[in-house]
Amino acid sequence: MNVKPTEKIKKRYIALRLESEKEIPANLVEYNIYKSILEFLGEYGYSLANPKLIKYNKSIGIIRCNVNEVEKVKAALVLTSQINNIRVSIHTLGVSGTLNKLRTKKKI
Amino acid sequence: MRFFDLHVKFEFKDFQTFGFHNIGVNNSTIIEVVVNNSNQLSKKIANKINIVNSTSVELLKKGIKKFDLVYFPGFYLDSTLIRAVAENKKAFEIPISDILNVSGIKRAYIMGRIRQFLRLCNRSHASYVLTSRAKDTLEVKAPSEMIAIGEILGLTKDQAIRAITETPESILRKVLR
Repeated sequence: MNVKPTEKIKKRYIALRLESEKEIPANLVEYNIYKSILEFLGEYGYSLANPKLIKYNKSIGIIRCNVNEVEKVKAALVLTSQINNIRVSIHTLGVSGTLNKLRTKKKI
Repeated sequence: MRFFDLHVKFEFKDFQTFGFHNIGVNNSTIIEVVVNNSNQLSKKIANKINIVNSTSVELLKKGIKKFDLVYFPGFYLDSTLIRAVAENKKAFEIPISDILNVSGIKRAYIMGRIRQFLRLCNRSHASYVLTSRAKDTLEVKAPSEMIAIGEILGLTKDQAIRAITETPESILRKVLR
């Protein structure tokens, strides 16, 4: 399958940092991030945003989503207040169009 | 751009690392009065941001001149109150904690209410301020996050930015004058 770059759906990468009262395993964080976005945006909104957690390590992660839904995904992340009854806070560190730029800018 | 969070409920010293220029701390720079009857509409305390908190529209309208910020929990639509706030050049407080600390249908319900309320505020040219009402650091949100929340509440990016920059700054300037 060959698609021209202009025909591709534009993406954005959001860097995030998780703050929590206790340490939470990465798989649980990943599951709950998807869950909270789904809860916040609904199935339709989730399909439009198409979020994907690309990397998560030592409470810092990168999530990829559709360019038009960045603010909604950001809001969904920010409004996540609990993971498995542990109080958490997800902060967005920055948004970028390319993974490399985000990694160098935010030193991830 | 200078960002402000006018209502934090704990002694928050690291606000500059979050990107805020200044914050309002409860019982230090802010005095919140929960009003249930007209006797509680006490006199204004100088050099402090006075917030009136009541579910009664009549009480809020009565006390509007004495206070700087109006918090109307539930955000029921009342155009007379919104017009009164606009005419007296006061502002509504829109706390993010009201959305953050609930989930599911309750969150959807309160977000819908706030969205309608803000739409009416914009139509009546009433000012509003986005605050966190954070009880600890886990509830504090950075300015860009507050803007994202403002946008999902139906504000444009400019309106959301104004709600955490110009409007709170003008209230602070008025109070500290």
